[in-house]
Amino acid sequence: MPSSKDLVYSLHPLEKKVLISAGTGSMADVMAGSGLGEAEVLTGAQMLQQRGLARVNHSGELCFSLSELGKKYLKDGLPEYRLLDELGSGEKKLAEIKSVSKEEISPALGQLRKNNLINVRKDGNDLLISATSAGKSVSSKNPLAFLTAEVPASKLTQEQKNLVAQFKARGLARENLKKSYSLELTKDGIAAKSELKKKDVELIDELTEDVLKNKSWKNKAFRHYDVGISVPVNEVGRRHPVMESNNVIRDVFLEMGFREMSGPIVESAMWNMDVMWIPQDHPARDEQDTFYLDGHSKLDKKLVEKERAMHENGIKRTHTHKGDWSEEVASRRLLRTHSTATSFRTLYRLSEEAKKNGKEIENGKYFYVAHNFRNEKVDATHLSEFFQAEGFIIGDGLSLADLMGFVKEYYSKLGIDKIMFKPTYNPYTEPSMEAHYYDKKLDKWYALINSGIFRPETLEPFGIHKTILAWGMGASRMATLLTGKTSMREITGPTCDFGWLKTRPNLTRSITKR
Amino acid sequence: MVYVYSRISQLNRGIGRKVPIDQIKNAIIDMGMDIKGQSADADPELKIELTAEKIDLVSGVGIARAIKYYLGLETNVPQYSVKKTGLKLIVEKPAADVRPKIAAAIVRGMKINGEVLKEIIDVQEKIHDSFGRDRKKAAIGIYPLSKIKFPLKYTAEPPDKIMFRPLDHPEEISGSEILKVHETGKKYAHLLEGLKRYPVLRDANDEVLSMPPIINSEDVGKVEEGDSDLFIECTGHNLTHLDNVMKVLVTTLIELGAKAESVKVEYPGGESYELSLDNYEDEIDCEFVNKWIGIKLKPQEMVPLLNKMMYGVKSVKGNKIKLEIPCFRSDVWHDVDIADDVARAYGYNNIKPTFPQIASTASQLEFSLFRERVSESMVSLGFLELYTYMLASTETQYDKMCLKAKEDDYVRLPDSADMGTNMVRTMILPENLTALNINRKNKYPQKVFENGFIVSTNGKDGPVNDACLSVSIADGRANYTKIKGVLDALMSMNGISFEVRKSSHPFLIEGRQADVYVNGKNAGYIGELHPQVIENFGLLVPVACLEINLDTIWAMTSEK
Repeated sequence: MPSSKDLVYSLHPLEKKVLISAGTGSMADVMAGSGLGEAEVLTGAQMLQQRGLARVNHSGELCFSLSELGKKYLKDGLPEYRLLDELGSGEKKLAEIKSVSKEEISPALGQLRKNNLINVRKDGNDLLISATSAGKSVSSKNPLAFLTAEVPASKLTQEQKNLVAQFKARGLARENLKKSYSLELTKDGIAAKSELKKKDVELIDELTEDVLKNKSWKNKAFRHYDVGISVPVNEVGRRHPVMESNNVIRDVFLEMGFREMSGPIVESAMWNMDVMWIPQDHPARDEQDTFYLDGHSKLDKKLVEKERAMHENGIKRTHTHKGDWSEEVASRRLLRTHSTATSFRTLYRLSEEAKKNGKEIENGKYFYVAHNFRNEKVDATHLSEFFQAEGFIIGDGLSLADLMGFVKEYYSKLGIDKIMFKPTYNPYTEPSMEAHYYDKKLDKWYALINSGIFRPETLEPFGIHKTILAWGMGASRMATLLTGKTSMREITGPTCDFGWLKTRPNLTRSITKR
Repeated sequence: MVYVYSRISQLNRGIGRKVPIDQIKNAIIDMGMDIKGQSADADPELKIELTAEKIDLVSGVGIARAIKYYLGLETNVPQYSVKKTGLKLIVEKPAADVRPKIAAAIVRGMKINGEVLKEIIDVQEKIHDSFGRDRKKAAIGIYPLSKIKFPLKYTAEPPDKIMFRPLDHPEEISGSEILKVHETGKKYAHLLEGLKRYPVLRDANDEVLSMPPIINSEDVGKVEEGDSDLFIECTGHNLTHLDNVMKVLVTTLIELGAKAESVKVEYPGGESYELSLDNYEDEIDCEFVNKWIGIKLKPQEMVPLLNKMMYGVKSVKGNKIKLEIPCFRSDVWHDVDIADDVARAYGYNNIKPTFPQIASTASQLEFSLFRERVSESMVSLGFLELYTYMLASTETQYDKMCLKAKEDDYVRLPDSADMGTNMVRTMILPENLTALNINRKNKYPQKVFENGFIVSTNGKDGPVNDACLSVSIADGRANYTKIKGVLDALMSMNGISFEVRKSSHPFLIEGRQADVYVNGKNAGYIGELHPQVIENFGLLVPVACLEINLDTIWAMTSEK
């Protein structure tokens, strides 16, 4: 709370006017004292309330007034009264009545008969109408008169209340909840008011073009703003955190000299599994894990025969026979389950190109941040579609120690120093290695990288005799780590909250210092 | 995943001495298994996760055997023998069309009490679940030997001719009835679906032993406490695979105190099978192992590491090490597998990491850079990037969009595990409209884009994925002019010239929509969303939108 002296500089002109005129509590007095309209006084009062200088008390009361029809009848008289007037003490044929229009006549007759104010008798084809004695003595005063101006419910007599109910039912009167306000200054408000009275300063409220043009700012102060104000910005253009995270991964690869590769999402089982020497009856190939699509892909005939031989015979030991192999199974169309499919496509392409020039495939490093699919039940940590960061290094005489060295360096670029290697099993790498890192915050070891050296059985059909270190990382999982979220649903898909997307902190590279 | 549950006392019995629990656990992890749980009682039970290739570790007995070697408590390669008996199992021709292969053996001298029986059933089930591929690839049958009369006959017969009392059933029923009324029969009925004959194993008295791979006979195929001699068979399609299963199973029973004997299986046409538990002889080059792993061990230093992984070493000559590989190891396909075993014995975390010295220049794909420029352009125009899913539903992609789904227009997901999805999206827009619906309580205007993939069926050799950009403005004042301004700015920023031609998509308002053409090729659409579509997606404000195919635009504008 700034001192009441500072307040003098920061009050809005509207606030000042309201503050000076406030005192009795009545809004009408403030309006009269300040010369402001009701809406302006209310705005000023609410601003003062936000500063803790005043309290605005709301109250509301039901008020009644005439509808357009009611106003018409106030002028012309109610139809039933006009009819009584016309009848006087005589008797008239219905067809001859002039004071009431055709639309009005039957409700008017109904009203009068209900209250026993007229008699109706039949004479041949005519209806004859005359006033009863009660009808003749009805006062000529218009019963709508008490609603000429809006009347609050509290000022109505019981009889008037009954009438209002009738008029409302006939569409002659309407009700309206009328709000009224009173304004009460707080202790600070009273202090501010007396300070303002002592010394008001002329302040420039807004620096406009005019103010600049006529130099009226000279020797004047500007109204002080609440500089701590929080202002939400809605129109924000921004990248999605998953894409931002993917770009972090891309950058790390690029800094380490990797070349980008890419490949199709709609794959064949051949590229997704068979070239990796994954047996055709391997559980990972089941429908429960793989999205198989209708139809079959066209396969490279040359490769088909090489893969068949490799699957049926292996390279070395016959007692480890892997099983029968079918081209039909290999040609099944599917959604890529892992981007290793693209690594193998890339290797095959590079190797075939090199062979055309009579050369062996060149050494190199390749990466891909790719979309993959698993036919799984979706939950907080498993999505059926996800990003994977894939990479391989091809060279002569590379070793498991080199793979470890690479993984260590990669992790260190993501802010991770403490890692542990663990043997595991993949059908297409040997050794196969998980790299766990220690998460200080959660006091837990996590595996983010699965890696290995491609088996000779996977490379022999391509005619590649170099060593290939390969690895994959759950990029979507990495996005959850970098955003500090636990559920994939919070950061992906249609459920992702726009408000969070706009205001979330930018990602940094460090998984451990998030 | 395959899990083996084993108590510390059981492991210690297999190891042959009491080993501290931490030492046991470390050995399990260093060998490449994982411990997923541990019970809290005085004799803790470990939940051990296996990797898929280690068939010899599917029992507590197998794991204890591996630990014993890994800790160096035993260095001589395991040796098992099989006594020949001359007993026969004749395979008849009809079996060839149904479930052609069977392997068999006998074990004697077991003391089958409750615990041992549980262990045997456990191993049998673990093998069924994993390497047996739920009995499809291998199904094991175990019988009390005393009730069986040799020679046995394995054949296939019409289901109604196979009459016997299956396990846990009160009366004799036929093969076809078993698949209809018996619990196990119903569970595995799919394995015999559509066959005119079912596999059956009979003894010399024509008594039915079992109907593989479904169920044994209650009368002659039920092992009970107190039994000591067992007949074991395994059926499937590939004899090498069955042999590997038999080797694991029989050596496990030998570890539990049995002696193995053979049964000669004779196939029509002269082929035969008889179980052998002889180890495999092989040779490895020490230098190859050093290079593959990145270590520098002399052959003599490698010998104890090989012993730790249960290999026997017969001789060392120069860099060549002559090996004996245990008969139950069916996962040693190549020298690299032996190299990996050496690395596990050495300890992965004892290997000194070295950075791979491969020189190369980094590069990005031109198309990736283009897609990235497009996203950055959209951000600069004040749009929020979304990432929605490619797996979609015909309801969202067609019905709500007022479009009619034609089977050839999209890629179906015939076996989706998620009830909500049955196709791969052909447009990004409907998925973004869903996001706008979920976010309808958030502030407006909502200006969003997604630079993602769709799958179209227009590819040369079947379905292909295309990169597309979808942009939506949801706001009380969203209209064609606003979205056209965005398209103009985006195209200008990326140096793409285009034209628009009037279109009539049912999901856009007639007269306020157009197709976008780049170099004469249709590359997408732009327009105001039809009120019916706005209503279908439960939105409350007008939406102006566009979607363009970035693959098409790239193909039409990049120089070749």
